[in-house]
Amino acid sequence: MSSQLNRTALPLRLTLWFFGLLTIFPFSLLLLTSVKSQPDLMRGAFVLPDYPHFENYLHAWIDGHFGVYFWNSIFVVVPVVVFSIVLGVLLAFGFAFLSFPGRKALFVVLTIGMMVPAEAFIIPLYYEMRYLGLTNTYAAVILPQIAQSMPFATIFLASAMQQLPDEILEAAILDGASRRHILWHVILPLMVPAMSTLALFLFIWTWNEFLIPLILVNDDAYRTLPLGMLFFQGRYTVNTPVLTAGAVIVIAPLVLAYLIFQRKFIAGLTAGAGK
Amino acid sequence: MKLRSKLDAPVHKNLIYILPGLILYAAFVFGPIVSAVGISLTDWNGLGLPTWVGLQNYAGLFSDERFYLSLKNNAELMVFYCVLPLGLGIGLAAILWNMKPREQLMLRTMLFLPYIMPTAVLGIIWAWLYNPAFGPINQGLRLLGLGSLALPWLGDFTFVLPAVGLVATWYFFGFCMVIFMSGMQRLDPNLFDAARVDGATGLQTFRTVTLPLLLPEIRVVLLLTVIASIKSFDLIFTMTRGGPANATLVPNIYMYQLGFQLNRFGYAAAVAIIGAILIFTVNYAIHRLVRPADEGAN
Amino acid sequence: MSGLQLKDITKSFGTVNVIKGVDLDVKSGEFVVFVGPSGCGKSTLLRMIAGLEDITSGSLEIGGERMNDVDPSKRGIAMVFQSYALYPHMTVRENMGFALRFAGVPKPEIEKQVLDAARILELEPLLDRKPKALSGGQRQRVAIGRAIVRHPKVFLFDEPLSNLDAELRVHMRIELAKLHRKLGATVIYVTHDQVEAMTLADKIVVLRGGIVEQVGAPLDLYDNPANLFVAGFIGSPKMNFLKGVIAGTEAGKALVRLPDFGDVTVPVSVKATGLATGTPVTFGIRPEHFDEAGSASIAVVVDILEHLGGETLVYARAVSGNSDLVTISASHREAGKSGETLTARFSPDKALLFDAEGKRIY
Ligand SMILES: Nc1ncnc2c1ncn2[C@@H]1O[C@H](COP(=O)(O)OP(=O)(O)O)[C@@H](O)[C@H]1O
Ligand SMILES: [Mg+2]
Repeated sequence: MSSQLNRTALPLRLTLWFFGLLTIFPFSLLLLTSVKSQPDLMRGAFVLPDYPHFENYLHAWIDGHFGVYFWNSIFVVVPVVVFSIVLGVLLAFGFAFLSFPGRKALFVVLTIGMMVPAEAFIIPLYYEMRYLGLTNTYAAVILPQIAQSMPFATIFLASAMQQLPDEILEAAILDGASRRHILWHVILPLMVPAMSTLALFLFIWTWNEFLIPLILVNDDAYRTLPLGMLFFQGRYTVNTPVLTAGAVIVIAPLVLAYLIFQRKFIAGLTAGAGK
Repeated sequence: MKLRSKLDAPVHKNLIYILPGLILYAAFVFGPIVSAVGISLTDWNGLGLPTWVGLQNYAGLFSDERFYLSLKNNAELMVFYCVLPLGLGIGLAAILWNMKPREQLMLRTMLFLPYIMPTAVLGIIWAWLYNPAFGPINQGLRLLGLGSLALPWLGDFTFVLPAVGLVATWYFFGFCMVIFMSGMQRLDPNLFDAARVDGATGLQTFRTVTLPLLLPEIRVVLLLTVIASIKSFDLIFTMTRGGPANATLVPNIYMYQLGFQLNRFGYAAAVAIIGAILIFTVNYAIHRLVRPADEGAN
Repeated sequence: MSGLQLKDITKSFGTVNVIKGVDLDVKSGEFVVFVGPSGCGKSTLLRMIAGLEDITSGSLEIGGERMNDVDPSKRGIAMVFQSYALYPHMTVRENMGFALRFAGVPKPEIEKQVLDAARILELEPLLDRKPKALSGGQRQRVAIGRAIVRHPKVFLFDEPLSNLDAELRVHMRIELAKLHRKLGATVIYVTHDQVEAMTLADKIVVLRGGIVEQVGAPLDLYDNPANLFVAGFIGSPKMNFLKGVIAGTEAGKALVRLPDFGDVTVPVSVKATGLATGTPVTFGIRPEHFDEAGSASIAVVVDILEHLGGETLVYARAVSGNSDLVTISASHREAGKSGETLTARFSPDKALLFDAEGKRIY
């Protein structure tokens, strides 16, 4: 194997770099445009500005309400991630170790929710929220997303719990630890890697969610970033520099998280692929 | 299992663990799914009481040309959502696999980037890139002296579907590649040594060894991308809203129009349910048809 | 069939030299074993012969032909991997016929070759199974079968038995020896297990740190190790090494004083002359060479006894207490008790001397 390393023919390497540049080209252009002025832009999409117009970001943040959208995204993502993990841990513990009636059936019901896309039940969900008086609140965006992450969180954490070495749990049982003690002081510390991977996934999914806030919120004060971007585009069709600055605000946290946790993210993503 | 019984307790004590999550799930996911099935059997404008119509909505879909169009568009989009990313991903993975670790990491980081992004925002970005007048793509074409190719991409009946589809390809192929890379890491490197000693060329090895052994990854990639294509909404909504003249209409966009613009909620729910059924069918079919190649014969 | 010549072969991975100049002659039909501790470069050397690693410098000839830049499949070699590397998605039949497919052999001929090999290895009933449905030993045989089908001039084995359990390992070892006799092919076999090396080899190549320490027939290496490393590596249990000092010489003998053992002096036969009195040496004596009829002896205190049934291993220290453990193989069970003082006799003819660099003093 080692002798094949470094032996990749140049045309093949160039092909790969071509695709690599193709992927990041739109993002580079986005960054470039976000620091141009309107007149700069008129001179051509690939022309560099005389000096960077960082005020575009200020415009996006304040006039474009991206500041509001950003904080809304935070207010939504944090509780979704936290509660999904807490409830997910409890559910996973239940499915991994406890008995209760209808265990198998309930598991099937959970997996159904993993396959059915939100588009399929958004109509009743919308009316349910209206009935509960929750439309145009953070709860309207938070609650369904916690509920939606239950299947994945449960399956992901339950399989991690089942992979814990039996000896550790047996030792704790022999020591006479109570069940709650075992969950909090034995299992949970060992679950930190799995939970942090899950948190990363949930953060990205929730940050990116579009349909639920699109349907369940129509007050600008509660819109999250992707939605805000859509409505900003509707309001100021041609202010491209500010629009691209907004886009950078939306994706920057994602890119940051990705670059920091890339290994974890890809490992988590590919873990189940070989089975 | 012995362990389980040790941690177990009477049912009423176990319920504390599972009820909070399950109640939330029932209230905001499973309940609505069941209701969606119910609503799809009614005629409902969202205001008054729904009237029971049985399977009439589904019957209506059978003769609804727009619905057929949305399915046809979706099938065409699958080429861009599934076939191209799969082919590109596996080919690029085979190349990348033999490269130096540093270069490998750099390329992987780049190629995977789109997959973490919100597709809605990517849609908006690409709509700008595709803009006929001031979009960078057409500007670039004009700079290259290919002005005649500078089409109004998203406004052209013929090109809008591939134009949207290619964004999906761009979004997925790096992801597919990463999955295939991890699949190759799973394989015994000596297999490739053995194939070299056996006299198989690079391409022959790829065809007769690598490809069959990556079937589990191919299955995962197919599942994820086919389901993503059936679910597709964000990207199309932000780029074309299904237009022009329904050239990019897909079932979920149709569902949105029917429900939230035309207030035909019963009919819209039927479209949504058909979409869910499609996903289940595809899931089942892929699980049945694409099986790991190393399952023992005999 | 054909031999193999390695001339000053080296290999570096980047700046790390892994193989530091290996010369070796392998005769046609010979069973050669590369043995050495793990990480010493055995696999690398084998893979260079196979063509799976580039040769940094030096030349490799198989059957008199320079092979440095020849494709692995054209070198007339076949390789059996430690992990077997069977194609998991192919049946045994397909696995064995895989190479012939690419060599342009017609289908019926492939089938015949595969059947022939399967008959030799008693694999016929398994031909339509996939590797997953085989036991470890069966997989091993398929891997060998895949090599046989190609009728190679040279078989290359990389630790082929190390994934088998102890019993199967012994069984396969015997099978391999039989197979070699039947086919008469040249074999190069890599292992870190000196027992495998001793039992299988016509010729053993002892490697350490990318350098050949000694080449020779198994019993040659046992009787006449060229240095401390080979002396310690070949033979089980290990040879005892005692601190010694030259106390004088007399006709063909060196008088070796053993300071840890009450300065007892042992006359050891050596050809070398001019050994200066006071030269520090290492005195080597194998556990199995302790013998009640011996004319020399050391006094030891028994530490622990291991009863293996047929023999008893006595681990003991010098009475002074400041020597390493000495291993003594005794043929009777009442060899002593823990804590007991024992006079361990041996014949000085069997002892070996090594100089301060670890080289043998002949
Ligand atoms: N591809 C490689 N790159 C760098 N070093 C390697 C590579 N392959 C082997 N080595 C190093 O070469 C030495 C010899 O390895 P190897 O031939 O596998 O040893 P053995 O088979 O005797 O256990 C080891 O120190 C190993 O770390
Ligand atoms: Mg090795």
